[in-house]
Amino acid sequence: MLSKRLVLILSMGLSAAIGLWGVFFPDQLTGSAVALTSGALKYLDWMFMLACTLFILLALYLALGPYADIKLGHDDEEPEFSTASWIAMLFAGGMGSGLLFWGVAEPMYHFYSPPGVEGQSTEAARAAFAITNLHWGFHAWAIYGVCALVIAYFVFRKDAPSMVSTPIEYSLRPLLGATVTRYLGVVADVLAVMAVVFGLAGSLGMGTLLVRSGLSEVFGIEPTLTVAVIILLVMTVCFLLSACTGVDKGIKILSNMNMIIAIAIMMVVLFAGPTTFILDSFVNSFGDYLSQLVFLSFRIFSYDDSLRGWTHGWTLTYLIWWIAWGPFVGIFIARISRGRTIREFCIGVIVVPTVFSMLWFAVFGGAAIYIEMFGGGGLAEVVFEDVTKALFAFFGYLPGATVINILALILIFVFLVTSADSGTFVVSMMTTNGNLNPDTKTKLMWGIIMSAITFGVLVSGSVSVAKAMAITGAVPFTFIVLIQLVGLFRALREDESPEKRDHRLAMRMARAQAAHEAAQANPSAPSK
Amino acid sequence: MSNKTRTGSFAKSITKALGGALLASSLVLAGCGDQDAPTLRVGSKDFTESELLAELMALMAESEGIVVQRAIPYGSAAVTFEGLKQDKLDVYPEYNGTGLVFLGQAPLANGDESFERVKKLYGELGYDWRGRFGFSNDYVLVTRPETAEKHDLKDISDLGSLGAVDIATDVTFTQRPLDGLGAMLRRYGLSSGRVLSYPLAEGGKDKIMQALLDGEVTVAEMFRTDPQIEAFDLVVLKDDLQFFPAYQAAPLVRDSAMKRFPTLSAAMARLEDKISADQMRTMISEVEFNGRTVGAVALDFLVDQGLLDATAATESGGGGGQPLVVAIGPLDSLTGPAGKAVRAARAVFPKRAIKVLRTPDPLNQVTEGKARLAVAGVDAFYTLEGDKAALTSSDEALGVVGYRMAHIVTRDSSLTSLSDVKKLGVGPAGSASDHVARMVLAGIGASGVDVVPGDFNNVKAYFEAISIGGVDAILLMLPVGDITMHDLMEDGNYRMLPIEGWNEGTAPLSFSFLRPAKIPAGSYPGQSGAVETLSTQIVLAGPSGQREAFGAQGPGTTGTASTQPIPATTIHELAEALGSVENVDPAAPTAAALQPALEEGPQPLVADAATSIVNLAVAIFLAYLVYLLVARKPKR
Repeated sequence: MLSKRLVLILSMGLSAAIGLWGVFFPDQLTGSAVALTSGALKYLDWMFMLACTLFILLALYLALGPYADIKLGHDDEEPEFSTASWIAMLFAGGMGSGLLFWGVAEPMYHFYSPPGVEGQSTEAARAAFAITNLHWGFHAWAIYGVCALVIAYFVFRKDAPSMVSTPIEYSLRPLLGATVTRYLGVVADVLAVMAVVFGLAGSLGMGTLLVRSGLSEVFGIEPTLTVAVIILLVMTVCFLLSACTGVDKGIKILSNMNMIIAIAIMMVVLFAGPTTFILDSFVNSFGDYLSQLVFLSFRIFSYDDSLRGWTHGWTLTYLIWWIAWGPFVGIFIARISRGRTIREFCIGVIVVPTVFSMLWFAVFGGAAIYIEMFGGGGLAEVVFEDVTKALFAFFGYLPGATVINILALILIFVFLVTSADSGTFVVSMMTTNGNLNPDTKTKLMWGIIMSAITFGVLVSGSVSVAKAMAITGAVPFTFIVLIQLVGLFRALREDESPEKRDHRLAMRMARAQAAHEAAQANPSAPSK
Repeated sequence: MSNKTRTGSFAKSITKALGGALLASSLVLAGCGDQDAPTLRVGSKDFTESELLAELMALMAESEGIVVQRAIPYGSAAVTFEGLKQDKLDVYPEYNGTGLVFLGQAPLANGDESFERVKKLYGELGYDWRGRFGFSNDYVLVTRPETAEKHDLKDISDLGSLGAVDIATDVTFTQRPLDGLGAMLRRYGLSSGRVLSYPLAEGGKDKIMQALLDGEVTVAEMFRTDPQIEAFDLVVLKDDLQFFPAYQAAPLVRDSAMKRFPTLSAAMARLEDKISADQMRTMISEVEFNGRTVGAVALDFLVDQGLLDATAATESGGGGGQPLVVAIGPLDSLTGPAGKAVRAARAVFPKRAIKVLRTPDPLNQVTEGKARLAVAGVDAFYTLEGDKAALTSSDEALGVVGYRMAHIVTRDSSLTSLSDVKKLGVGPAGSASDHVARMVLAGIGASGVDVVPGDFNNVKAYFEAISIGGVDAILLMLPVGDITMHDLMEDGNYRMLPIEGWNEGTAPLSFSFLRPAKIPAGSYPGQSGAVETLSTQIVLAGPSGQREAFGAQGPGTTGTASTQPIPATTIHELAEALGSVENVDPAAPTAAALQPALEEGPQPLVADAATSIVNLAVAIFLAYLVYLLVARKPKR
């Protein structure tokens, strides 16, 4: 019980200390955070690249290997959420407004100035999609998938608490000894809570500013601090309301809404824009990505110093960005994946979102590249000038821009509310010793703390501090994920020893037999 | 049975309908060739006026519900006409004079006659001339006022007295057989000297202007609607032999297009007699001097004329309505060095609307992300701290625009140098004038001079500050020979004061970007000798590419700054468009792309201690993980 308290006390204390440091010496804090991250990238770029690629390989092994049929739950459990809602929630939790933000900007950026290829050429267009898909495709979702799987397995199959430390506590205790395990567990849990808190503060701050710039773009509202604070207040009320209702209502409804609006906007761009070109580039980029996946997954540009910098600035920053979100998204995805088999989980969490992301980027990036190559042009320069303007500038080229702009604004807002809601939920879970349905009081408390931090971030103008902190958390967390994975594989090995598997199959057959007999005994009864 | 028959006939009718649909769709598909393109293909020649006219026609056609495909610009005059003939274009703006020339006919000086004739001749060939736009854009020969005065040039015939004539022209003019350069020289009996010809699409007009203003050529061929003629006060030589025919613009349309788009006729009719030469010149100068896009200017014109509904009008292209902002100082003239920078921006970003923002401190606008580019003196990168200048700006120089010199102007004859001034009038706080004045005074140790900032936004306002009497002298940062300053000095009451004692202290070191210079004698009316002063380089500045946060680009930078640095290739293009031979003043932080690559010696093979230790630790950790994975559970 002490360790549970310890996590809450330590994480709150450290968050407060770092928060104060950030308010009083923002430059110093950002400097240290950035120095740590860029130092880690400079010395250990090979390890981050390798680790993330390893995650894909492990996911592949899990989905196809001997453990694929193991259920994340007891053998007789059914999935808690419908597949559509599950996928919608995966998206809202995992990528959120980032997809909207980078959908136009990233392909455009790489098209304009790709590494080692001449910009604005046909080669550049192909490279742009391959690179974008590398950053938002299998790697991103494999990282999330692995982070989620290590939790989900222990929580639903072994009835362990939903904590980041669980895999370590559960399967490494005999090897490491009780003391080391406990401290390692506390460190992992505290790191995870802080990663979620800072990550959310940063992304809520950024998101608020994005909504504000959208409002000024669409309705000409002066972008002042007051407007930002009002947006934050409205958002806080919305997500607290949603947080009170629990995952099966609030987050589910919001996520489904997100998905519908996002697909609606995508459809408008797809069918009102250069439809054939977009679909062509989707097919083409799919092939390019698949055929280059191995090559791209290991590419560090080790022989060219400036391009090595490019890898650090783009690919590796993305990858550790996803790792930084790992504790949050991992626990959230784990929470909604109860009752799926490992194979189902890997396909649902990694393949489906990746294909959807590729379609999304083909639609937005494809239309943008069409504008640049065959249309009026001028968009790439806007993207280069200010990435936040990219989306609304892009909509400016489409018929009915105002309607789409308003839809996009609503979407960004709902995405943010969803992120804040699920973030609150995850932190509450982590600080109530992994309770799957934390009580409303705790959720409200964390929600208000999160808003307060975001408020501080906005007022002190230190969005960059929160963002830098969020990314920095990824460096130590990468090592934690690796330890968790070792724990998972140890447990899986024991789970599926031949005796256990035989036992499981025998049980299943016996159940089927029983059901069959019951059905025969009472044919009029409903089959379920 | 009957039931079966009905089903059968239903199936048959479905097959029929499907067959019909297939046939129809294959017909539609087959119809998608060039002959019956579903879109109206609007083209133009490669200069601003033609592009504007084409855009106006395209917008009017769109307002009639026609889907338009723009080829603006399509090519030179000959190429564009060929495009129409080969059915690559449906319509483009053409001049009746040119129309006659294309058919090998002698062009006519009378516009109406000329139009009647082209309408008839082209009608037989399957082309239609629609109603004229209302202005004529003849060729003119222009020369500098000094040249005209010196050689007493009024008519083109007067050029005969010069011997061989050096001429700058656009490429198309040299190619035209009947009313081009060769024909004109023959008609007037002139012998040609050096001929500089530039394609108009590649900023040719500016190059022609530059060649004329630099004195490389005596005369230049231009269009009557060129706004440069007015802006540079050029003399138009009279076409005394009436060689140049009338060039009235009108839409030249393929008959097939008139049939395909029944509403096209109405759309073109709405532009008839709507555009005067003055209006055209204003539109051209909006594009060429103010850097707006052709689309935006054409749209504004139609809305102003009530030809298009303002609410229905959406601007297409141009970066989705996001202009690229170039910040310049209030005293910067668009015909001077700052104009060169704006034109360079326009050449490098042809697809963006360029917006010129006048502000006292242009560089700060870039820092704050409100402008993409700024025209600023190197002094603006520094702030005065105590009696030294500290480099504080996070922006960097992308290319050289020109030079500015400190002009200290007074009416008080008792003053002999800057140190004697009691009250020195300068521009608004943060402006180049204010900034440099304080640095100069700190540099020469003239602490007794009181700097009085004023809200001046043009040269005249500075001069008025002296006449009102609030200040003894004013300090302006201007390129030598600024036209407004020149005009104001004609008054005769003003003279310029020298800056003395600059080299006596540590000023040349503390303020290295302010370099001693002299305003040459005779730069301004009544200036007998050279005036000792200080000069500073004017550079084109942009956001810095030197960022530490996770490299200079990528998703990490969006958290720390919203503006991304300008890519290296674009910087090179800008530097080239500026056309400066000189390098950026070493005192200014210069874009990495412009810095010479340092020759690095061989690198040490042995890694530094930190790298070794960190990597060793990680390797041990990974090995330990493998051990953890395979280790047997200890028996209790």
